[in-house]
Amino acid sequence: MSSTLNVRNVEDRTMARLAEQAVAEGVTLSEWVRQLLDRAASLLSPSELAARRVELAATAATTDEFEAYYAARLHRGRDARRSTRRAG
Amino acid sequence: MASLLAVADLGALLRWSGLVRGPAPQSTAIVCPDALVAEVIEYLRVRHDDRVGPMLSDLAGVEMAVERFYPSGDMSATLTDVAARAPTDLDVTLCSPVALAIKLGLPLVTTSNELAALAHAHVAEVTILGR
Repeated sequence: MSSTLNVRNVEDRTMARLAEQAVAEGVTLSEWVRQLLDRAASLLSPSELAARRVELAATAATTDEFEAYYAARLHRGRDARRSTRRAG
Repeated sequence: MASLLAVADLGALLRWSGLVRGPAPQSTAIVCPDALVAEVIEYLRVRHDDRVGPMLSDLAGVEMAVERFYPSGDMSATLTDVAARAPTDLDVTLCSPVALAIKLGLPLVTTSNELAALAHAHVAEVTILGR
């Protein structure tokens, strides 16, 4: 199932840029705009994202909790390098 | 003025998505290397004790918050260069946002001083998010 969307008053420079992008991607302008709309529709809007952050605030990890995890994860190469040297 | 589009590291991505507290990037949109998806899943494993339902739910929220995940294979040479310059124990996968920022010429937003230092002199704009 699909619908048709007509958009009025699109700036000339926007149309030109979209046409350039479509050529670069090797698709028609309609197909390119369809892909852009599909991608946009799969994302949270800025307001939805802000609302989600508020919604998650109570259960979100604290900065300290995450920093401890991140530091350990960032430096996990230390042990791997040691064991590789031992094996060699 | 905040950049419209920026590359986020794991910390900035999780704050952007609301899973970790603290100031989020001021950008209007963020992009990430696709290699970070596995890192997000690893983080969610720890956070949710391997319970797949909450992991999938949080992962969906992250995926809906990121403008685009770029294929890491397309920046392999840049990532190799970054890895060779990085401190020897620094994990290469987590360095991939630095490589993406270099490759795309975009600002980097990070919660890591080490990644910021690695990006310094190679990325035009680096923002370290405060606590």
